[in-house]
Amino acid sequence: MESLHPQPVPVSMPAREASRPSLSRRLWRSVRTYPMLYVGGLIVLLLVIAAVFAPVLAPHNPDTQFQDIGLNAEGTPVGPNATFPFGTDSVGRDVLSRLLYGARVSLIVGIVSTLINLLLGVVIGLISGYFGGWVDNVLMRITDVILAFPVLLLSMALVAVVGPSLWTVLWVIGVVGWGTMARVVRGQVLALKEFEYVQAERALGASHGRIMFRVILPNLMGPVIVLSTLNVGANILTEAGLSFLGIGIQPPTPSWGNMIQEGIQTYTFAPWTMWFPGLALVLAVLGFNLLGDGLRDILDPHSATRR
Amino acid sequence: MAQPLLEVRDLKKYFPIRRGVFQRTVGHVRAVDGISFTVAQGETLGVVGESGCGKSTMGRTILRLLEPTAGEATFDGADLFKMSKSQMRAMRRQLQMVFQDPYASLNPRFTVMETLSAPLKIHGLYPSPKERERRVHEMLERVGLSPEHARRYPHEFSGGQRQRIGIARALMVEPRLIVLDEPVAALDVSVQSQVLNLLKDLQNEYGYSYIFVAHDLSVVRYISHRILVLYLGQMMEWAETDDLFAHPLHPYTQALLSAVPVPDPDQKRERIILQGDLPSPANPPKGCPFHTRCPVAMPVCSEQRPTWSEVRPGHFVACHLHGGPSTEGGAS
Repeated sequence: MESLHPQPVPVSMPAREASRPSLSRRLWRSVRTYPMLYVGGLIVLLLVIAAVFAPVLAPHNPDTQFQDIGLNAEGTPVGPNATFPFGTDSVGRDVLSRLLYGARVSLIVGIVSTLINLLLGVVIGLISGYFGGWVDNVLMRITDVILAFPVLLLSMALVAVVGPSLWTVLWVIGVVGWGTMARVVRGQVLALKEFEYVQAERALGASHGRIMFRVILPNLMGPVIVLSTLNVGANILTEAGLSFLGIGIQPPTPSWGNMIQEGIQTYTFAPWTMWFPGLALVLAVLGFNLLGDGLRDILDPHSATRR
Repeated sequence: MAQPLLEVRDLKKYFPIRRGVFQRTVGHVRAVDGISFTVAQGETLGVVGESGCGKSTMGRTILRLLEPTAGEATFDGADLFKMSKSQMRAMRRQLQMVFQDPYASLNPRFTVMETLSAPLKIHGLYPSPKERERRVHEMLERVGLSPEHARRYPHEFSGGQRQRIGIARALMVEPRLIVLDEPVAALDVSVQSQVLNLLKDLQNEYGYSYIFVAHDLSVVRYISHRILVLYLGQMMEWAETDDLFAHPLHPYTQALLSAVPVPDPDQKRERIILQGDLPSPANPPKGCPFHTRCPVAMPVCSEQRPTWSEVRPGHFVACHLHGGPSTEGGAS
């Protein structure tokens, strides 16, 4: 990508220097041009740090029930204080520590299931768009069926059959959510395969495999990266939904979904038990969406959202 | 001329027109409608005609980038259209193509080295990377670039340089026949002649045969030994270059030639300006396809398709003015 900075340099900036602008200035300009990209990136970065360093950052063990200092005399959760920054839950566990460990579940499920989506969607979309004809018809009708089901509903049905666990949730979301990716990839392939450099490969006698994976695939990485980033957010949300409904991550393993579920029972007198996991979820999904939109602005110069 | 390298007989390529919910075929676009010709070793056949007359489709169909509807193409004794896809893939070592747009025909993500070594890898030539590299460097020099260019990406080159890379890619496997699909149409005039000279020099040195598709008559005249004139997917005239320019027989050829600018402002010339538009190849006129625009059309022209006849040795034409042995002479 060439640098795409259509915004005029602010008037207050000094006139053009002889040398290239310094690194910090270029970074600042880039931040000004794509503010949402950096906000999203920052949120995602913090999320990754929280997940990776959860054992270091967490003030308490997420499973320890502080029956003494974690609960009031009436046996209700204590609110945010110096010991428990985000308060405790109904059995006296530290909400902050559970949130940090819950980030691990969200990220693992979000990223690994997206990788499965990616693999299935790209391979199916590539084959469908490249070969066309009846292959395309069959694969796209299967995709239609997959897309016609709400992801959450289909996942529920599958989890109910296999039985809930982290690995089930991860696979189920991965196997259910590839429809959009397949569609987008197919559309790109339909356009790309008519390009002269793809025709040139055919004229050289290249095999279908080489043309699909060595020639076409690298040229559709832009939309694939954008869609995958958005997909991580969506999959985190699906995982939370499944866990909320009790068929995702099983307690006592902390997940933002089952924390919200548990918080429902206490929220009239201890609303923080629901607020904080809910807020974490919103922030995480927002972060991935902003990052995805920002990447689209950079990777797709034709996008209308650029100012 | 001895055994031709390529002999094409009655080549047809129709594209179905589909309509409605059930995608029923309601007709055909006759892009190429019964073309026959030969190309000898070391010969350049120029193919000219207006936009949409099927020139490019013809080239691509012979290489089976498009599947032919009917016809035969005998290359060195073997029928290309009867080969399986895998046989054809192996055959592509001998048949190569250079594309029109040097900006679209090179993969922007491959370096020149990757682009040029691809054909070698595909056909399993020069298995060691060292050998391949040496071969790429050699080829870059052969087309007038330097070995240092191998590490660069296509966007770092000018149009003419890119087309040299496109030509080098076709030459990597030492083919015998190269289809050039308007290879200079997208280039500046000053660069055109360089590329044409390069193609001529390469032919003289290595004996390649070319099928040179173009719409620019002066370009075709410069490079071709023989010229085939197409109109609406059909053959109008086929002759040696000098013969065709000196004595064009078909009214369509005469009209085309009269449109070539002459670098002498004082010379008075008679321009033949064709009236009307190109008829649709989905619904070509009955009889001679050119009769709707022909300045000398006769009643018979709208009734019967003229026969393809050799009016003079090596000079073929499809026109009622020159059809058959009875009508000797005619306008010229």
